[in-house]
Amino acid sequence: MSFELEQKYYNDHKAELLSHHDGKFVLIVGEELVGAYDRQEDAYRAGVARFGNVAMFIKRVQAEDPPVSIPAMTLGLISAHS
Amino acid sequence: MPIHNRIAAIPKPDGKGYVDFRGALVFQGPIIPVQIEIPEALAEQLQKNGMPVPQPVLGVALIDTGAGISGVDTSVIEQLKVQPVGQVTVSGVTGSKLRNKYPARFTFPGTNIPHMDFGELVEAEIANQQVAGISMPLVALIGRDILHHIVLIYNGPAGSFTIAC
Repeated sequence: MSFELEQKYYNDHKAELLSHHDGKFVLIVGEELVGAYDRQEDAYRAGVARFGNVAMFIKRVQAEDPPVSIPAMTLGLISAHS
Repeated sequence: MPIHNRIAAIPKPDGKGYVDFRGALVFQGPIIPVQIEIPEALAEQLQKNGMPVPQPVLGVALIDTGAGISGVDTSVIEQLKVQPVGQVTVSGVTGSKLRNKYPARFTFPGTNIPHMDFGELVEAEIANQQVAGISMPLVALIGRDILHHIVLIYNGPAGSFTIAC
């Protein structure tokens, strides 16, 4: 699942989304903005009720997405043996 | 506020006593038993439609203060048959990689920690990494997005840790 359509919709409409839904969670399926919600779980609940158990794009509307790092996962550093 | 104290311990091979009692926390890390379930909203929807609800997955979660976001093993995602809710770019020394995010509910058997619902857990390949003295698989990393809501006290000399939430 690549979410290419949904990510493109988000990028193309980012300024508009920021002006109307800054800080909220938007649910986008295909090229449709289904809704904007205060909490991520509200967006998920709305998506499941409408579409069922399918892949759906839920994203917090924010000017910049902070970088994410998980060294234990990316480096496999959880356990070491001598 | 629920408080959970845990003393790390690695049983001796013969089952009589424990190995290096205080050092166990070094090798195990701060781990807690975890049961991972599908999100409540999805469970309700499946039940409403008369469809089976996937069985929860049991394992241990490692509290990882180095992780910016929490993760769940890909095998758990496959067992729960939950679908992705977006993607996140995870960066590391070897570069960046796009990873799917999934929703799930965590409960913590044998503790008084309340269940937690997560909307954005990153898929990870961690179950093949063994935890010393623990037979259950490592199925989740608890990162700073969750720790943001938790008090964590790591007592190295005592080989124990405390979480309160």
